[in-house]
Amino acid sequence: MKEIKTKGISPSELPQIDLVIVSSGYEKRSTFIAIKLRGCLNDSTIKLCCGFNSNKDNIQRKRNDKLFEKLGFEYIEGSGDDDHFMEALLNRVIEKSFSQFQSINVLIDYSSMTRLWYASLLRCLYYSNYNLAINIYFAYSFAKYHPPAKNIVQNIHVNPIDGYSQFSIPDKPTALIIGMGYEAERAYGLTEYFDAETFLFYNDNSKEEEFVKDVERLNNDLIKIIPPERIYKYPISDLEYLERILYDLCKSLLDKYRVVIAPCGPKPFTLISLLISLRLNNVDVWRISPGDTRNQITRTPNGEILIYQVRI
Amino acid sequence: MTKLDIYESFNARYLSFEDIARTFIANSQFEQLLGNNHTLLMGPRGSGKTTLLKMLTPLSQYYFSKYNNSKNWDLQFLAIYIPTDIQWKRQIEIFNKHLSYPQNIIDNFPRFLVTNNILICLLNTFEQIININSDFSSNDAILYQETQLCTQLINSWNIEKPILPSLNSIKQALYKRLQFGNTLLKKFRYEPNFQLDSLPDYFYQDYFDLILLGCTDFGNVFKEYRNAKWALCFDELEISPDWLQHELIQKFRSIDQRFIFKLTTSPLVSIVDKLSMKTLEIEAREDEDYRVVRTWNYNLKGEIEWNSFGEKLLTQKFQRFFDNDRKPIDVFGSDEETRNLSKNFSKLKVQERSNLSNSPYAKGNYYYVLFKELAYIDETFRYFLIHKGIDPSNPFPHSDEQLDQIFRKILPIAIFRFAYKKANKSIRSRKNPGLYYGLPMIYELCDGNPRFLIGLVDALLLSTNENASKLKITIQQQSIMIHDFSKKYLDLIGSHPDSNREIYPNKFLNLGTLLKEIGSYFSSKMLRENFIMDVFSTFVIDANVPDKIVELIELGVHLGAVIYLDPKTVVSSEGLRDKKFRLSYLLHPTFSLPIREFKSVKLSTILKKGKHEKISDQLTFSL
Amino acid sequence: MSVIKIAVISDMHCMHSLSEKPVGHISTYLHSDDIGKSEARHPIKALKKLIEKEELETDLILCPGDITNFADKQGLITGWSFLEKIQDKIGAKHIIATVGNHDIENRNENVGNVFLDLQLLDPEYPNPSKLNDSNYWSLGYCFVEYENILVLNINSCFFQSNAVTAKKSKIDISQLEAIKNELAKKDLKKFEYRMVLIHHHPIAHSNMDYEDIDKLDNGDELIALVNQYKFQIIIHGHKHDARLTIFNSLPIFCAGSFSSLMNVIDMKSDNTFHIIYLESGESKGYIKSWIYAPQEGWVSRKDTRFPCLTGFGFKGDLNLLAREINDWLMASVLPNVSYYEKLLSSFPDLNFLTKENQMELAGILKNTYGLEFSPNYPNKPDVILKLIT
Repeated sequence: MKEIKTKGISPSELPQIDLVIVSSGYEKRSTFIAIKLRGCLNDSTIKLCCGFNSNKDNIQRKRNDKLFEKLGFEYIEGSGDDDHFMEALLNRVIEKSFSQFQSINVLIDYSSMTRLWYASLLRCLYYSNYNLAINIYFAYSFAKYHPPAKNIVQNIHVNPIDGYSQFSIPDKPTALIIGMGYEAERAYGLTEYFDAETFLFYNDNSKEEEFVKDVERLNNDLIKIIPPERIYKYPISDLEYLERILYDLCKSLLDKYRVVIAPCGPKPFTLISLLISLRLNNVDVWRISPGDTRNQITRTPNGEILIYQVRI
Repeated sequence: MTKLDIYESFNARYLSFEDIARTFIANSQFEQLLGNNHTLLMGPRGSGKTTLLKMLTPLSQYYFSKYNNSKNWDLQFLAIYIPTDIQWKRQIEIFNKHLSYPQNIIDNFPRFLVTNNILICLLNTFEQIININSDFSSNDAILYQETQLCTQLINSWNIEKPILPSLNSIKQALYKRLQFGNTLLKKFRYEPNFQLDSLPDYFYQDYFDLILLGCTDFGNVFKEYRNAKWALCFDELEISPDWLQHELIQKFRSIDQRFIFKLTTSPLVSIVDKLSMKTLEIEAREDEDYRVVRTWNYNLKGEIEWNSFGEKLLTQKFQRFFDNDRKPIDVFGSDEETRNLSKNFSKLKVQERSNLSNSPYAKGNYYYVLFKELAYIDETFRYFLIHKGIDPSNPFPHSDEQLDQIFRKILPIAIFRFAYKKANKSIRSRKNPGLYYGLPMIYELCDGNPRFLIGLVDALLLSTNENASKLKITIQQQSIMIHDFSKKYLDLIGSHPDSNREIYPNKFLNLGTLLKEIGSYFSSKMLRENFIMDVFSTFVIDANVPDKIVELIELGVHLGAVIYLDPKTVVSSEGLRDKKFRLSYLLHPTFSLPIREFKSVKLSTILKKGKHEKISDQLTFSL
Repeated sequence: MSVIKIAVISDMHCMHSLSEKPVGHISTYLHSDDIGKSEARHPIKALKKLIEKEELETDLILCPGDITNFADKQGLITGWSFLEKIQDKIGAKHIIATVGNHDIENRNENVGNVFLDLQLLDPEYPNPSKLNDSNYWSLGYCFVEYENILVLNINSCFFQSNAVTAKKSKIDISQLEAIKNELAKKDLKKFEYRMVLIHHHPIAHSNMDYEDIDKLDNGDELIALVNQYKFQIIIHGHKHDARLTIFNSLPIFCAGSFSSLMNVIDMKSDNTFHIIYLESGESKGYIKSWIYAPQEGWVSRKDTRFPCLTGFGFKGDLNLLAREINDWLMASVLPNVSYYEKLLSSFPDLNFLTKENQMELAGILKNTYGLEFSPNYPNKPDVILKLIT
């Protein structure tokens, strides 16, 4: 197992970036980080924009594509459900452009990516045997509050994420850690599905009070039946704390349970879940996704950026 | 009362053997399971199968005697509990889809997993027996015997050396094999040039050979068990790999006599191979080679037994959580129709009791008033009565034959229809008329499922802020809560991750939507359309139902949302086709249906609504 | 030989949640405004539960400082009251605390007397009021004498009063001289138990992520001095990474942090609570430790960074010990197998093996005699068995 070192940093602490990977979709915030942090990019920075092969006619999407083109990004298209797309892309780029380097700094804006995409990037960086040190900066742009959509989305994809799951013996019951979002009922069915002891994680009020209220309201049925000691609220901007508490919890649970994390809410929680899975090796992270039935919300950036440095 | 007080885990999966034993209530299903024969224990989720199976284990038996100061059942076998779970199932399914692994890995890895699981369960059982024999204290002689046993097991199972002769070390060695297997898969996945000359021998071991050797070794060391019979208790067979399900059922006839199987599974086992769609040859015959124990209610006998069990379960719960000796019946009351009707009809309409006969159907009594009132607001019901030779303004039975063949049959329909019509007379309000209440009905609603019962009672108790000593929940409150619980249960079914099937290209159907469609059909026929006596509340899966919908119904059966009726066949080559089902009674309140079984209709009729050949587009969604 | 039991609760970093900086950051498990809805999720409530469950009792509680975080007043008041509650629960006669750098506003030159709040906090802080502690504030150290116990309590923050001095810790040569003179005058024979309590580390305590810049200046001199007067152990805090080091035969025990999340994440250290079992008259004993697990409370666990059971003071020959163990096992009625507790009663020195000793002994037993503990050191074994090869 490789060692992983993580640290939350501010945008001003970002070094010069050698490779930046962003995604282009229907969200307004897709381009925010590329613009805001362009000071860390220089002429030699390899800039890749991964566009989803769906919703290409969406007006915001077209604007995003144009802007990335203007900023000098190379455009590559792929499916948001394709687990191997990012992996193939990264391998190609590193072999082609960085094989002579000792170390590189990679900035990944995962704000608008699907979980499979940034999971795939992290997995690739963890398992591959590149002959160079890679410093990864996962950047996330917070969105302004948007009320939850009224229609219920189904859980279409409920699968372990490749690279973040391994076989274990069912001699212990399952502990299910759900990172809750505000799409109604997505989390509710999971407890029954896994027949598990459930632990809930969601944001505390430190950033977006309205969002938290929505989460509590829409997941009230589940929150009501889970004992309070199994409910964890975390500050979304303190990923080090989240990583610590999730790590400690998983370690505690592993004695008596098989642990599955099902991140349904904010992407930073998913990122931390993936890191925990790589650290602890026998914690599964499952993808719980509505697929293309997801509600298309054009999230607008609120100006804040969260950066998490990962060194493998 | 807080949720800390009330909510307790009723999921046997994460209860310890001790907890299970401490709260165990024996029933006739358990008595049947004790038999010295192969048994298929069949039932939906939450119906108590895991509890019953775990209760067979040496450790549960030990704790049961301890907590009950009584001799436990005289088991003729030593039970080895072997679990599985959905996490595993899903991982194996995904593994099977991976075409990039070498053939020897594809062929042998799932078997290797199953074998590893079984061996660890066997070791756990040995550990239980050893601990019980030493009464959980340090005992040198028994420690020495353990090392002797482990020395033999290490040789019999070819465990990697050097190793300590302890059960824990052997378990660690098995976990290490699993770790090796996982690492191997990762290497194939992430190292493009990785080659493996050959798999270690343990990938090819047969689980049953190893069980045989292990139990023989145990008997050689612990001589009092030399002639012991062993029961292999495989839980949740329906989520085990298909090949294992079929192998185990096949083994009913051919297995060594020292072993019996106790298998739990869904209410119906399909022996159609899902890949080849061929029917598998099963030689074993029910009653000859194996017994079937069903854990859901499908006949009157089952209902009576369930009510008795439910009574004990709730009494135990109440004793644990209430200081006084408040009984469930005190809190929920009876389910007599008159409790509802007395609230519906003012005293003016019901004459003084002293002048009436005891029969509620008699002139002037509650049912009489009900029929009369319904005939007044429901024209089609009035015509029905007239057609049957009954005066709508004076509807009472003139003979016993009329009472049995008409009045008793129409009563439940009339109550619900009246409530529905009354609620819908005023278009704005849809008040719940309080149709679901009373302890006997609560038992019925739960269809023999202890998990439903505990969940429902918890919700009912938590809905009130009353002091425990005074607690009595009105029929209105009960009805509202039951209705909410029913709706939430339906939502839960709909949000189950497996509940979506692609029935036509890019057209998905959700199980929740399907059940809603079925329930609404019955509800419409019963409450909204012209009054008929022979209403529907059950359905048959006919040949015209698409396979994917049958799969959804199968999921519904497994989850307990759909109940298999007249279960004469348990192992079937036709799967669910031509079999009769109904919605779980727990779903009936969502559709305002009475807790009763009525006639049957073809499922394709419900789905097509008589209009199109295809399933209605409104039911499906696209990605 | 008699034994005393000392509970060690260090670096609590208790504070009010609104004092966290930046906003939204969480640096400790112990917020003074956390009423603790769940026992397991509140370190103090969880500790009380542990004490009750395992019927723990100690003679003393030592707190090597940093009760609060960034001199948060509420944290200081609540943190101290938590210690008193634990004292009550565990039956300890006294709490002896010492000042940590987070207990004072040592970077603000306008404060004046940085120790004022602490001096006013409680008569029982940092030393029991019945036992003289006026020297502590004026000289930067004092001796706490209680029955046959002698504690040298050193204020390693004594010289910290501004942003520059706050970065360093030291014990002055004049202080060392004064300590030496006092020790020379004492009748030390009556003190069977002698220990040093200090916040900062007297020896290097480096780690991969932080430069070690605030080691106690003249720490080696201090060690030499207390060694000369046969002190048995030095207990300190400050570094949130529990560690036991034997330096010139003297055990230097860093207690780690009870509840802080700072500088614990990077090293993946656990939050720890300890009880030291100290033999009289010798630098010999063992330490039982529990780690804090958010869902479970305080637990003993295998394979922790700091072992849940570790000893110190073994001075014998490990090869000889291994041979004796082997001979004893071979001669047993049931050869080659024994419960560890039984082995311990014949070889009590096993209790006093450090982690390094344990690993060495385990190696000798395995390689020379084919014997192994299960579970193996540094975890607490249940049995010893002969390997099958």
